[in-house]
Amino acid sequence: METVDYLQTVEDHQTFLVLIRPTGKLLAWKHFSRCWDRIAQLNCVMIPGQKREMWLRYKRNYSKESNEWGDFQAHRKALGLISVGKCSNDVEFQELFESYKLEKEKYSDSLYNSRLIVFGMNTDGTEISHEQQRELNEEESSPPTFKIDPDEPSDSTISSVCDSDASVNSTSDKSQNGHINIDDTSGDPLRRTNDQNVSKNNENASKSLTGSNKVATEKTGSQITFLRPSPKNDKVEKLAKTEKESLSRNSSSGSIRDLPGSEVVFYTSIDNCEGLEEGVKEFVTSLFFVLEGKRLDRSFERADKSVLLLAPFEKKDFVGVDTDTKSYKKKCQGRLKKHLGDLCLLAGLSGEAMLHYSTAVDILKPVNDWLWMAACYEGICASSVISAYKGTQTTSIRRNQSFSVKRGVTVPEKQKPVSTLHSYSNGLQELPDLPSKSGLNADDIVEKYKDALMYYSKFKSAAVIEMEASFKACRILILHRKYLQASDFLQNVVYINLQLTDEDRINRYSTLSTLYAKIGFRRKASFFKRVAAMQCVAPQNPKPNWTLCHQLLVQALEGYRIHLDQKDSQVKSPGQMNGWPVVQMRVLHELIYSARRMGNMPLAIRYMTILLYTQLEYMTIQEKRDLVTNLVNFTGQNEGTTQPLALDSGVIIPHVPLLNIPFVKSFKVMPLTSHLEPRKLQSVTDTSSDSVFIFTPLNLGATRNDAVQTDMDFQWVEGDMSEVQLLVDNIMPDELTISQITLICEGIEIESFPLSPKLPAEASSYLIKIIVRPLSTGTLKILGYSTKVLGVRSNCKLRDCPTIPQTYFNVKVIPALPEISLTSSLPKSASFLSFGEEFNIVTSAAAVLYNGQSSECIVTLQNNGKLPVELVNISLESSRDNKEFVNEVFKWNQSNIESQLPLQISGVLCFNLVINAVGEYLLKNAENIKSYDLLKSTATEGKVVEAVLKVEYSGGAGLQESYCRCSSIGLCIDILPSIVFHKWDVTLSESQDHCYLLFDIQNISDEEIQVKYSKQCITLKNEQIKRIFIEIERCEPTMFKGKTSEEFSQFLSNFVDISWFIPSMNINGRVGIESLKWSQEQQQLFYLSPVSWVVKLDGQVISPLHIGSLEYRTGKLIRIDVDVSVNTESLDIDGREVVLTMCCCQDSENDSIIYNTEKYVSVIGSQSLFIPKFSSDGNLSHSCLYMFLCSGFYKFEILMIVKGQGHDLQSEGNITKVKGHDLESKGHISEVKGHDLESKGHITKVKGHDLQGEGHIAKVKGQNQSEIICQTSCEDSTYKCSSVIEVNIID
Amino acid sequence: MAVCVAVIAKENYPLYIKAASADSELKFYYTVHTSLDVIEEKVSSAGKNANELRELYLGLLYPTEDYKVYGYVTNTKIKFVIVVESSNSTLRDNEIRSMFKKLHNAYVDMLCNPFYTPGENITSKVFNNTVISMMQE
Repeated sequence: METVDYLQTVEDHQTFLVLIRPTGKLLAWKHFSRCWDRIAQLNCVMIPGQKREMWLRYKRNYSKESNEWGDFQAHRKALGLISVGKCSNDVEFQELFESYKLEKEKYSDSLYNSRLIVFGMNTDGTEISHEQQRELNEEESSPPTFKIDPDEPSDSTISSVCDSDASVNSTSDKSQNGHINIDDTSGDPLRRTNDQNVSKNNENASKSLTGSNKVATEKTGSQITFLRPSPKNDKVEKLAKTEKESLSRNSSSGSIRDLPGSEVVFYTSIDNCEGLEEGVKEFVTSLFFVLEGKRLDRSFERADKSVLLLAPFEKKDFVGVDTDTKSYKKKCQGRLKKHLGDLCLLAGLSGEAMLHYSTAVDILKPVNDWLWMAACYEGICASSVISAYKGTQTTSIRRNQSFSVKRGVTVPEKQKPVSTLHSYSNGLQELPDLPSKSGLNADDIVEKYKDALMYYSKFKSAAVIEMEASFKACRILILHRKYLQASDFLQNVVYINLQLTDEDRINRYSTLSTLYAKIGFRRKASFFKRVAAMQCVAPQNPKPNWTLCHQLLVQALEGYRIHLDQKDSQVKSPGQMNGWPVVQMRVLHELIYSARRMGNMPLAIRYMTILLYTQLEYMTIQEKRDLVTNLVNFTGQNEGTTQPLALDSGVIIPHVPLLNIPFVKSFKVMPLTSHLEPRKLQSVTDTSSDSVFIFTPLNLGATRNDAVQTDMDFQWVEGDMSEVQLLVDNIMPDELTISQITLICEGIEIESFPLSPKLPAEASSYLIKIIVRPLSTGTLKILGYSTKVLGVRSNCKLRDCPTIPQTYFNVKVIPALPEISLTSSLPKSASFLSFGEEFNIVTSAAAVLYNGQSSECIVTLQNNGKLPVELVNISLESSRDNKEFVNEVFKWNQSNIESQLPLQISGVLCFNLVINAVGEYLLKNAENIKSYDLLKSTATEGKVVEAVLKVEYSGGAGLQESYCRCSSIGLCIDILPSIVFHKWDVTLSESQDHCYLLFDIQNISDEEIQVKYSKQCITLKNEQIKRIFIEIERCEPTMFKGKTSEEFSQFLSNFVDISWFIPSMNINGRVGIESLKWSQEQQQLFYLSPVSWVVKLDGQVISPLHIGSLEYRTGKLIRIDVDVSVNTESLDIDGREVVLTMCCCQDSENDSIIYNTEKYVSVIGSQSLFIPKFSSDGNLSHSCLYMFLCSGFYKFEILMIVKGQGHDLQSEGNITKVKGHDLESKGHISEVKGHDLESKGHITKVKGHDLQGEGHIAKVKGQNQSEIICQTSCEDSTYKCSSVIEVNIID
Repeated sequence: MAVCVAVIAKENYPLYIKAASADSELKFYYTVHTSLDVIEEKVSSAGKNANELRELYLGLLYPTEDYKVYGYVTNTKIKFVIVVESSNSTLRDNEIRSMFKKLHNAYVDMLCNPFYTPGENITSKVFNNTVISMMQE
């Protein structure tokens, strides 16, 4: 079976083919491969004294059939053989030598020379003594130190390392790499199994060995002893013939044993063979000279001795052909010329070779020797290519470079091309445009190769040659960057019909793929890789190799734009178009299948995940279902992993998170529920004042929008359940069960509570709440979430999620805080409330109270947490404008609460909340309404009081960090109307010390109300109005410290206690009179007067409560005596001016009083008494006589005016204020006159005071015998006798 | 008499692909997919002398045993690929050219649809009919 060398290049035309064979059974593969590595470095040898180079190509095995083509193309001939063997004693050596003979026999047709390298013996061929052996063993057992040292070869030209075998085919490429690596490990039985090619080679070798065993032993039987420790005697005749030339040279080199021309070289061990390279060099130089001899041998040119060189398959064609014809001779001649060309090429004379080839073409053309003409064309191309790059030494280096770039091997500095031409991404150097001296330009080469291929294709048996030629042509064109033409040649390869083994087929496709990749046809490359992979497991293949199939498929992925690492893909989110979904799906399915057949379930699952992640968009529903079913089956057998998977080839397949199943639309870190949310205890320093900046609602600049907020503005609490909410979509057609979903966090330890939600088919915006519990304090960094869907675990990082701008979230976790539950004894309110969420309301309480009613409510705090509560702050919150009012309604005892602290775990703290239904007792149409009444509806409708009882509590470590929690009760109190006041007034009572308060009260509730006051009780029906009198003691004016009338109302309410009782409901309440407004006069009535009057009318004392008039006749003198006694304690009157005046007036009963009565009354005596300095005893008396001229009702008004201490006449303000009290010149007399007659203004003023008391005064006028102090602002005080002194004058 | 017609986006993903028979569809997917290599190579090599107007028609991309693959690239780098059977000798270069012309016109008409976003898969019925007519000629 012929094998195709897929790696052949044009340059190979000038290389010597040398076989290196492991021989004997004792050589460990490890040693051979080390030896091989060292020898294979030597690919170019400078021939001493010849200024020529010889290029070398090594092969480990070479089929006899291929070797037979050697006449057709000389570089196909194995010219040298190096056998490597091992033995430790003579017996073994003999066996080894036997094998060597067999090897040599096999290639005897073509070999120029051969060598046997023996390890395990001393360099002189003696056995190694035991001591040495031990040393060696020790050496071997110690870690091998063997390193390829590139500097070792003495010849600098050798340094160019050619890895002619370092293949384009990456499979063998890898195996070779593997060997180099493995060499460093001792004892590796795996290697053989690893490399199937190699083991196969060995098999082949051993087969051929046994096959030719018989013949060989017969032939060489007598020669066994030949090379024994004293091998001087003689030599193999056969060898001697061919090696005569080299012998002389070999003898000059000291590295070989004493026998000149010996073909056996001994080394003690592979680690100890410094001369190896040198020896090989020696050997190949010998080959060169044999060749040179052949080349210069012109004997064949003589026509009579002409031999017809034949390609292997031609042999039978020429049997019996007439050898005398002209065409036959021409053929002989032409073919010989061509062969000569080959030899010249090998000998490094490319120019000469070209000439020979051209001549050969000319000779062969007329005789239509197509096959050989094709070979000539190929030779011409080869020689022109070789000559074009000769001297620059670029040929092998360039190839080297391209490979090393690919494999990441560092290239020694000196190998770098001198040219400064830029290199291409595929590692190829741009070719210098060399002036083609004799060579052909690229187009010519294409033409020539095309011709050659055409001719080859005429011969079915030359298919191997044709294929290799195609590859060679392609490789040249790649160098010339003629990619399209190169692809034509590759296309041609596909058509070549060749019976190949499966392995070869795979190789062929792989090579095609590699070359296509070099052209830059990635898709083609992938296509052929995939074809190669399919070939591995073709149905007719008896031994499907799934591992190789998988390996090739992985290499094919690139061209299909499938990325095993999703980070490589430019497409950031799944579903975006990238490549060809149909084709991609197909390849992925094949990958999955191959992985499964390999038995690597995690890998299969990983591929499925990739398929699911990348291609879901393009799948039909049925495909999705199938895939899901398969995946679930797989994961049922073998749990998926999130670790990156490494392939044997070194490719790492990272974890692929299934970001799209389910697809997370939003990721929201939730604060704790508001009543558990920690907040800072209110500290003394207000943080807002720290900053010089003030808040602006303007959103200045767009930068704020760009910055993605990652730090949460709330805290989580250690040990408390915290929540993250995910909105997810299920794009699968079926219900999706997420068997587990948790968070991925770092920073602090958390306890997770995995969920397993079920998403309905094609659900959108399904809410998933993930619960975690932080176990320590610090900053928790939430990086993502992890799911287990369809048995596949996915760690989905937020940075990979396209819909979430944040790459992580930071949440601060604060120390643990206690937790309480808050309840109240009141029923919960049905509807709530005007307050927003910021109040953390956990419960509510509602009550219905009648205005004035009081109620209690027990508020209970139960500690449900794990820490004692050490601090409780209770406050009321309400809307801004009724704070004051709310604070009146609700009251509690803070000290009572504090006494119950600390509250132990599961302990209970109770306190009473007192609710006072403080309401309005005035109807709306009343004129005087207190300030906060704005909020209230009319008293008749009742009203609703809403407030929030805020409980701040803290304890434990959280308190130390000054955090607390806040729970609240929403309070909602309905205040129903009960009693309202319609009118109110103050009257004097009989006693000087008491006065009456009068109230008109109305029941505006729906119930019957009993009103209790001063031990009395009245019952009011609905809407009924009744008047009540309450007698209270008058008090000293000094007792009232306030000034405003509100304060007075407040003050007054202390003396009054009115309560109500609703019998039907058995509730009671208090009626407050705080909201009632009292006029100045009414206020005065309430105080004890400092001035007491005794008025006598004709000697008869008029009591203050006296009602009615005394009757007199006209013309009768009526005497009025006034005694005034001033309580000097309460009124400091000593030494002040006092005026006492009387005047008679007529009350016309329509609220107008006529003072101008001088026509009807004549006064005898002075109406007024002026006392410049009041005596200290405080008494004053005056008398006056009146005579009435006309009948009618008359009244007397008696005033006492006490001038202020700092009386200032000049003060203008007083003038206007006092009006009638003229101060200008006449002093008090005139003023008194004014009182009498002229200055009505004064009277009016006083009267005006009367009138100021509301309309109700008129009503109670009959009893209105009061004293009024008219206090002017200049501290003049006017006291009026409150007794009604009325006379009825009759005729 | 095309057996497969494909429209490929600027970014080299398929916008439209239609094969004469459904069972060979996958094969044509591969054929067309790999032909993109040649198209890219041809376009990039032609792009070097940028001044002259590039011809849209790329000619024969490559022959396979049974088919010939022709390519055409619009100025917006939309690629058209037509696969014909190798055995069909009646189709000459000119016929192929006119087929591409027709395809291009149909594509432009389709693109004029304001409801079509460039880059989406082509679902237009009119376009589809044109392609079918090209396959049945």
